[in-house]
Amino acid sequence: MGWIGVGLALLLPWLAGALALRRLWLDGKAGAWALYIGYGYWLGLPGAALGLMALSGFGLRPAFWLILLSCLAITGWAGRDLGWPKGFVAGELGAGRPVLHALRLRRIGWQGGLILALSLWLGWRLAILALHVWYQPLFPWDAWTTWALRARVWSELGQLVPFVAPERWATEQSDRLYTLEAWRYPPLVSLIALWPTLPLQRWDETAANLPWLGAGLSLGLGLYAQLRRWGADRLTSLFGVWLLMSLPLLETHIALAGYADLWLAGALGLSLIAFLHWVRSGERQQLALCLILAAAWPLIKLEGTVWLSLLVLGLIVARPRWGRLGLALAGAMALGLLALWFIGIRLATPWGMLELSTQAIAFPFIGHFALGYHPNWWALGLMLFGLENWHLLGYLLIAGIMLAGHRLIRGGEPWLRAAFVLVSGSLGLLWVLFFLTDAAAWLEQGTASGRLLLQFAVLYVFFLLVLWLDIQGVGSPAAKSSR
Amino acid sequence: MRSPTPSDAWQRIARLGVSLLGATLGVALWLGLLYWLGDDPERPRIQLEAESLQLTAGEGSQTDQGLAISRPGANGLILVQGGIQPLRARDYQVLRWRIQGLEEAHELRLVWASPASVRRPFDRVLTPAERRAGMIRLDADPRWEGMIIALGLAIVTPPGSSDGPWVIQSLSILPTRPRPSELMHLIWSDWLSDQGWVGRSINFTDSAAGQGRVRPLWPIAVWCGLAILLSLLLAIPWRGNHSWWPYLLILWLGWLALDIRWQILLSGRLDHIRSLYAGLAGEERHRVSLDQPFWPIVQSLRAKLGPQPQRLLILADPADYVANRLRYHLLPHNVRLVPELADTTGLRVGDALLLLSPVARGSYDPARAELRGSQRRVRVEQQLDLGGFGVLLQVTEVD
Repeated sequence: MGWIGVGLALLLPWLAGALALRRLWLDGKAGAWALYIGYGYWLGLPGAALGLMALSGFGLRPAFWLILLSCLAITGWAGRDLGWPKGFVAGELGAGRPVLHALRLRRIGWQGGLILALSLWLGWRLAILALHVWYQPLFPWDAWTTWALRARVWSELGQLVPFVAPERWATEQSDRLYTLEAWRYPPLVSLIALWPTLPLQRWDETAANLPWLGAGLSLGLGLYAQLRRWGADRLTSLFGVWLLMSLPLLETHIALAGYADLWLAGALGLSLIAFLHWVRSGERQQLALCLILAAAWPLIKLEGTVWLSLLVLGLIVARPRWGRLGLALAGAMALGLLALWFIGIRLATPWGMLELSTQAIAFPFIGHFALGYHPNWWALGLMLFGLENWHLLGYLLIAGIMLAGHRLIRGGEPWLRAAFVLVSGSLGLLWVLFFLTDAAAWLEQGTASGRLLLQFAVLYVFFLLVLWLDIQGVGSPAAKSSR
Repeated sequence: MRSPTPSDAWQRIARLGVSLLGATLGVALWLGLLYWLGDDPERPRIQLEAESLQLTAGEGSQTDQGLAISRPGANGLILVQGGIQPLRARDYQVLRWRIQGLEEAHELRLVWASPASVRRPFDRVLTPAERRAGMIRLDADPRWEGMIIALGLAIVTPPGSSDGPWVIQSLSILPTRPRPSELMHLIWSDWLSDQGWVGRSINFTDSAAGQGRVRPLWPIAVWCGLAILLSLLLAIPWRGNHSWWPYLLILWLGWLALDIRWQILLSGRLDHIRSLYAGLAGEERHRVSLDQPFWPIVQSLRAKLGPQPQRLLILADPADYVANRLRYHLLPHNVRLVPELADTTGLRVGDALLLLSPVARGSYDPARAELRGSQRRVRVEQQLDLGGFGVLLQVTEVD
C-alpha cells in the first residue's frame, strides 16, 4: 500500500478518535470540533498502538489491518449522522473556524486581521516542522538507541519480540530475546513509532517520525479548544496556541522527532487541562478525558508514574468535600513514609528494588536515586531564564505563580487552587529531583532537565492564560458559550 | 469617574512609546558597552604569565616574582618568547608587558614572526613613551598583519654592562576593540549566530553554544523589564492607571522578537538539511549524514551477516557514538554492546563478534584464532577484516 497506507495509518485512528469523541460528547460549545480533532488524535493513535500490543499474537501486520478496520468501523458508526458531505460542510464548518471567520469581509477588523496573521504564522512554522520531519533522518540519541530501536526491530521482524535486561539476555541466550540498557522503558512510544511503518512492510524513519508532527498539530488544536471552552475568544485562544507552539524546545521535539517527552507533554498537559475544566464546570466528560489520558502517562515514560501524584494532589485540593478526608489520608501516608524513611527499608520485589532510607530512594519501574543536597540554583536559573528553550515563559511563570498566590490569599476558586497546586507542585517535584537526589547531574549537564520541564509546558501555558482570563473576568463556571 | 477622552488615549500611546524607546536605548547602551569593553569569547585576552615565557637568549630561571634573568646572552641580548597559538593580527593589536629592572640604557624591542617571516622575524624598538606606558599599539605598523605565529620581547644591554637582574612578569595580548560603527553589526550577527542541530539540541536550545558575549534571551528580557519599569513609572498603577495592556504589549513584542529570531534559525537549519538530503530517501540519506565515514562498513557487515537475524556482540565502549550507530544500522540483528568479554557477556558458539579498533583489537590474536578478555577466552574464526576499523569474528569455542 506504500505511503497511502501510511496516510491511512495516521488519519484513520485520528478520525475514529475524533468522531467517537464527538459521538459520546456532542455539545454546541465553542471549540467543539477543535476539541474532537485535537483530543481525538491523543485517543486514537496511542489507542491503535496499544491495540498492536493486545493483538500482536496474530502477527503485527494482521493486527495492524484488524485495528485499521476497527477504526473504519468506529468512524462509520460515529460519523453516521454527519450527513456528509453537504450536511457536514453546512452544519459543522459553519461559523467556527478562525481563519474562515476572519475572511468574512463584514467581520474583518483588527481582530480578524490578527487571527489571520496568527493562523498564517502558525501554518508557516508547521510547514517548516513538517519539512524537517520529512527530510531529516532519525537524529536524537535516545531515539535510535531506545525508542525507535525497539520499533525498528519489531517492524523488521513483524512481531513484538521482548526486550529484556542484559543479564537475562546473557543467561537465557535465546534468539527471541533482545536487549538494551533502557529495556525497562514503557513500550507505548516505540509502538507509536512502529505503527505507521507497518503498511510499508519495512522500516522507514520518516514514516516512524510522522506521528510526532501530528502530535504537535493536535496539541495546538486541543489547547485552542479548551481555551475556547473556558470562555476565551478566538483571538486569545489562537494567541495561546501561538505561545505554546512557539516554544523552541517544543518545536525541537517535533522537528527532531523520536523522543517520548513530546508525548508525555501532550498527554499530561491535555489531561490536566481537562482536569481543571472538570474542577471548574463539573463536566464529567472532561474528567473522563483527564483520566483516560492520565492512564497513558506511565505507559509513555517512567516518570509518568510519579507525575500521577500531582493529579492526586489536585483532586484533594479541588474538592472541599474530599479535601478533608484526602488531606487526612495524604497526611497519614506522608507520616508513614517519613517514618519508613528514617527507619530505612530495602525490599527486593519481583519488579525491582524498593528502598526508602536516608541514603537513597528506589522504586520499581522508576529508578534508584542517591540522596544528597546539590545547590544547583545557577543551573536551574539558566534553564528557566537564560537558555532559549521557553522564550519568556520562565519569567512569566514565576510572575503567574505569585499572582495566583496573591489571588488565592484573597479567596480564589477551586480551579485556581487546583491549578496553583499543579503548577507549583510540578516545580516542587522537579526541585526535589534536581536538588535532593543524584539526578542533580541531569540539571548540571542539561541532559534531562529541559525535557522534564517540557513535559509541563502545556500546563504552564494554559495556567497563565486562564489566570489572565480570570483577572479579566472572562467566563464563569455557569457560562455557556455557543457556536 | 470621568469617561476616557481621546487625549487620554494619546497620552497612553505616548507613554507606551516613551517606555519602548527608553527600553530600546537602555538595551542598546548596555549592549554597546558590553561589546565595546567586554571580552569576546572568540577572541579572548591572551595572558602569558612568567611560567609560559621561554628564555631563548640569556641566563635565568623561574622564580616566584617571574622569569628572572641574571645575565644576558651573547652581544648583550636577552630574548624571551611567549608560547602562543597562531593569532590573527587584525584581531589583536595591543600588547602590554610587566618588566622589572629595565633602565634607560637598555633597548627594549618587540619581536614577532608570521609564517612568511619565520627566518627573519620582525622587530620594533619601543619608544620611551611606550616603555613608560608598558604597552604598544600595533595597528599602524604595516608589518603587523596576517597570522602571527611567534611573539617575544628582546632586551639589548650595552656591551660590557653588568646590569641586572631583570624580571619579566607577564606579557598580555589584548583583542582589538570594535569600532562604534561595527557594534550594531556585531550585536546583530551574534544574536543570530547558530550552530545548527547538534546532539544536545534535544535537551536544550542554546543556539550560540554559550559562546556569545550575552545569551540571546537576555537582551529581550532586559528590554521587556526596562520597558515595563518605565511604563510603571510613567503610569503609576495606584494613581488610577489600571490597564494591563501596555505591559502585555511589551511582553508580546519581546516574545515576538524571540520567535522571529527562532524561526529564522529554524529556517536556516531546514535549508541545511534540505541541502544534504533533498532527493534522497530512506537509507540513502545515511550516505551523506554523519554516518557517511562508516556507511560502507555498515554495508559490508550487512552483506556478510546475511538477512537472517543473528546474535551479534559489539566490543566497544557502550557510550561510543559509532558503536551505537552500528548497532542501529545492523538491526534487526540481535545486537548487544559490551565493553569487554566477561562471564556476564552471554557468548555462545555461533555468535558474531565485532571488534572495533582500537579498544578491543589488542586482545585478538589472529594467529591463534583467539580472543582474550579479562575473564574469558574464546576461539574465533575471522569473517571479515575491516582494516583499521575493526574485524568481524564468529565464535567457534567458548571456555
